Amino acid sequence: MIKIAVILFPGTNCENETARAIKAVGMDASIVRWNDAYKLDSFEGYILPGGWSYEDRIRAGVISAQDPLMKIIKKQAALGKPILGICNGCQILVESGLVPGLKDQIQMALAPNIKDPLAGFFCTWVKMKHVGKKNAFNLFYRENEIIDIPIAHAEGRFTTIEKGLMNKLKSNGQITFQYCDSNGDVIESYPTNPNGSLLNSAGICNKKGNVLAMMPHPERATFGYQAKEKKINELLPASKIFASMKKYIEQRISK
Amino acid sequence: MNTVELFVGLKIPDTTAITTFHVLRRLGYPIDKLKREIYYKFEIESDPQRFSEKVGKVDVLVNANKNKFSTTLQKEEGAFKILVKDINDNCEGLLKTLHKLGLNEIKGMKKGVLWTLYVDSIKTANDIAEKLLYNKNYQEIEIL
Repeated sequence: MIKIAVILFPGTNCENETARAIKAVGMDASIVRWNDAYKLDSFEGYILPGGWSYEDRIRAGVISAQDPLMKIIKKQAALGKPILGICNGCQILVESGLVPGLKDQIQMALAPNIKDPLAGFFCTWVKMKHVGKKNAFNLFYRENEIIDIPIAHAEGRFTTIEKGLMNKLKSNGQITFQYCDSNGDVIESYPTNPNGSLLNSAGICNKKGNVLAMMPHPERATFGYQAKEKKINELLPASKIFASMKKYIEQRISK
Repeated sequence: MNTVELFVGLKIPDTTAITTFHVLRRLGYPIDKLKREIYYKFEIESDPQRFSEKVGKVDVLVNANKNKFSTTLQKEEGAFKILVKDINDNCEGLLKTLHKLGLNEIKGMKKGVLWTLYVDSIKTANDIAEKLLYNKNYQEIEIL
């Protein structure tokens, strides 16, 4: 069975539900502590789940991004293995430079939310749609498919000072998910864009498409009982992110 | 318009500063010590001396049970002070709270984190800032 490592940093708090979501689509999941990193090579994929690694000290994700474990993750990413960062994991991938990964440096930030007239931590269900090129995480989504999914963060605004970067990411197809309304319209203002992300970005991948950083929580929108309208014994559309990882790994192994 | 600065530190152990110190040592930076303070800069329409006396008693800024404060920058030999601020952060929420508390003389404010780095040179301090203390995509630094 395909084995996925769910990385646990001190302060991670979504590891168990992430492991359950992986198992629900037919993969095996092991929670691997940051100080057990020597085990990591044997896994076929990796997920950095949500939480408050290192208590968000200095700024969200930056200390984990400097952890020796991330050198192993970078090596595995270079081999083409899928790496998914969710919420705090997303912040770690951006702070480590793996996303968007066009240069060997940090090109973006997950800045504090802007949602005029308020600011700060925001927890709600939003809609995002699938856009961009096919990658390891969206193989089962139709173009412009709308997905209901929760967010819970204070620093989730994808931003950059690099001129032209967002347009480049768009033309490269690296913007995988965009916040949208129920019609699929990408409206820049709150509440459709819940945090002020540039181009309504909810998830951005690297150029190769095997590393995805996303702020919304697919592991909280995987099982029917997690939905607002309870649907027992049914997997929700967000679970296709994990199912896609499985298919990508199967294709990779068979090559 | 007058300006008053407020530097708020911790009397209790600062876990963020301790973690940052260990991360920097692990990354190989020759750092002896570091300190962290929350920095506020107020633009006020009142007497700076009287405001300075008042602002240190505002609980939302200075909790006397754990914080210590100063309204003047403490220069130290062999230390470099780097202020990290979010770009375009006008502290609207905090400013509204302070107005509700009666500090209506505040017309504008800025907030940041002031790091005091005990390192060998300004170059090392800058390298540390760039590596760990700020993300230039939404923050900026100032050497004080």
